[in-house]
Amino acid sequence: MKDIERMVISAYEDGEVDAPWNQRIARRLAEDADWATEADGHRKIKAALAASPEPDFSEARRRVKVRIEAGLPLRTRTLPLAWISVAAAAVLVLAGGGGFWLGRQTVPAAPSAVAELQVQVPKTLGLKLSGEGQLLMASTLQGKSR
Amino acid sequence: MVGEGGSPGASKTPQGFSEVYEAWSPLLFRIVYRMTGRREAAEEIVQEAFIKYYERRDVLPTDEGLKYWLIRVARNLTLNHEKRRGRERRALERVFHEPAPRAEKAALEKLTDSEAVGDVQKALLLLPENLRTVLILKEYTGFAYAEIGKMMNITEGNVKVRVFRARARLAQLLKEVL
Repeated sequence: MKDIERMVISAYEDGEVDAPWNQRIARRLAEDADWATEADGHRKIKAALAASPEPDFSEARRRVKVRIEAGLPLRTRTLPLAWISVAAAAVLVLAGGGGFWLGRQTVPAAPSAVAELQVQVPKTLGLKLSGEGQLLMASTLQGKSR
Repeated sequence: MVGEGGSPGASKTPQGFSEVYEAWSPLLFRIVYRMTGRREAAEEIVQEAFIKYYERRDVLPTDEGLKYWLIRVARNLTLNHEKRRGRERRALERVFHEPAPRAEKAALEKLTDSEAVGDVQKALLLLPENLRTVLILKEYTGFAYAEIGKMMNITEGNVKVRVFRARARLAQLLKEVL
């Protein structure tokens, strides 16, 4: 059977062929076994599609209406990969920046503790300080402690 | 809060947002579900379509043209959604070094994930989009070829060809693949 004939039968089964052609097709279907088989195939596909189960959307319809009326954002929006990458990068930057900030918070505390010790050393044990930095720090802190 | 754009009962065609939503959302849910096979996608896409409608309702037609507009918008959103989903899936496959699916059945499993969809719906998802949309509009909405042609910006003759090809391909898929 030619494709054009099969297409005519498909359109006929959809009710898309007007008179008088639809009557001629009906007669041909009654007389020609190949045409009848083809029409039967189209009807089976149509029946299978019609019988294919479909979810009940009544609750989803209600939810969507409520969200639109309330001006709420989409419920199940998936983030594009680009945004996921940006978010991941932001987390890394924040983590790095946070670590640096914490580091800056803790670094100044340590030398003062060390300096206190260095101040105490020459006073109590009479040990010589070695290095310019230590001398400066010691003299500063000694002055401060007075 | 969404206001009503027109007076109920003033015309046979739905006017206000609520009327329009009640009139056409069941149709859009059905079309998008059939195009994607996923109810979550249907919910998200129909919501986006009606938000677009709400934003532009003052300049949109209020007759049958509105129905065609909504269906066109839902179709475009669905195509964009599926493209995005395909890109994300391919990216994840690259990350996890998964080989690309070879057989149609494997492709189908990727498409439908774990959602329970019937064999016919699965086969429908394997049709090329240009055939699938036309067949869905014909079989699940009852639109005439001429109306489908208007929605898709194609001729009535082209709709006839596509419906025929879609049915023939679907018959083949149902026989061979599933």
